[in-house]
Amino acid sequence: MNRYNLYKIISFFLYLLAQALIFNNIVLFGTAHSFIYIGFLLTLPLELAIIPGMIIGLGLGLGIDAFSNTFGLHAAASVLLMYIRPKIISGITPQGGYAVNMIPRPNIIGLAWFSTYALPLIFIHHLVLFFVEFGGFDLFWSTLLKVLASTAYSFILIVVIQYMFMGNSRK
Amino acid sequence: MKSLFLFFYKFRAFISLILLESFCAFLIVQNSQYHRALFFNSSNTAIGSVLLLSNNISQYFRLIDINESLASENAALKNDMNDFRELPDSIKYDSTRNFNYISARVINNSVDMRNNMITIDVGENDGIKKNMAVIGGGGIIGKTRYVSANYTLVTSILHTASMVPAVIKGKVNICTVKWDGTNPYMVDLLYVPRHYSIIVGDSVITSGYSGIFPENLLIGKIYSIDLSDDAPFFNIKVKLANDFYKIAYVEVAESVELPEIDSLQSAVE
Repeated sequence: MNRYNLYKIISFFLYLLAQALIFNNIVLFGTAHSFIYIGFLLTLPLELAIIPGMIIGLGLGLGIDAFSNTFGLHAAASVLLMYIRPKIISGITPQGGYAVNMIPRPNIIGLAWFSTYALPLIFIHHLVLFFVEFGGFDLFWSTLLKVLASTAYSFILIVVIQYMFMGNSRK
Repeated sequence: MKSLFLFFYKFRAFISLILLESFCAFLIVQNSQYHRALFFNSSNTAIGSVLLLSNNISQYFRLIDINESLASENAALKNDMNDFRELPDSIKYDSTRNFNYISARVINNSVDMRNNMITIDVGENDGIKKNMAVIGGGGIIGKTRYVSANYTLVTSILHTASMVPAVIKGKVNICTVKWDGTNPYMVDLLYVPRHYSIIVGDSVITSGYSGIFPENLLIGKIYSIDLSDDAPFFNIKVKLANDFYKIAYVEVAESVELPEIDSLQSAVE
């Protein structure tokens, strides 16, 4: 378990730096942003308690905020994501329940389950992020387009990263 | 008492959600309303040095663009110099400089958000202070906001809180440039009364009124004009002279007169 924790701490910083230095600069058509750092939050263990989860979300969010000068915006969205996450997990429990120490990664738990789990969470995260950033509901449709395009873009990149870099180990 | 504790225990997740979200909301409001950063941002030394390192690498891939923009800026400056040479000798020039320029490199830049900030690699040690004009390439870039020892965070023109006093060259003396938050190539020109005759292509330049921006700097050219029947002002879109996706080097303009103007104004108040 200690080795797992160390692995998670390192990947926390890798996700943070990858987001801040690479993916913050890759915006498709000025519309689709990719926030791959939530891939870290999504692949935390299923049993993780809700309050530590929210604190991890706050920490990672504030780190991203510091790099992208958004002052609490990513933190707010990530905390909300980590609050809703256990509810979605228990809502889509497969027959027979989850295996012990299950890690919700697409190459372990299956892409279909991962999509039903990750897509709503990414959507909620991006919804909060963009509407709070816009400070209101003027330009509603263009903001919603941004949210939808970014959700698809982030989801695809998160899945690709899981398959490419994380191997098939049960981490 | 016991039931109170039970209540808190039962809703502990929700209560911590409220607490953490209020903390985030506090950070967001603190920044947007009171203009001071409680928490660290990219002018922080540790974060700034990581960004600088990453910029050192990524800069190589943009050298062609950077060279092109520097070359065209050089050409524009040479043209300006010619204008000065051709003036008759009998006009005496005031030789005092109103602005000192400090060159800086952009190490972090966002364009596609609604409130965009730019990080540059100069700070207090290089003489940067809050509220200095940042200009570059074809025109204005923004205004310095948070200054640390070695890095500065700049509020870009592409920020919903940015307002720049402007002039339509030779026509309108007072108007304001503001970004509506959508297209990073266009800004709105506000408060141009309907009795002026303006045309597409007119130059919009800075006025010296704020004391922050040097006078006569190009902001952009009028792209479209729209006037509804009952509106007192034109609806004008201005195409920015700068492509914010490509800015790499900027200059910070330090006003020599601004401290004097400020102290004079505060003495009156």
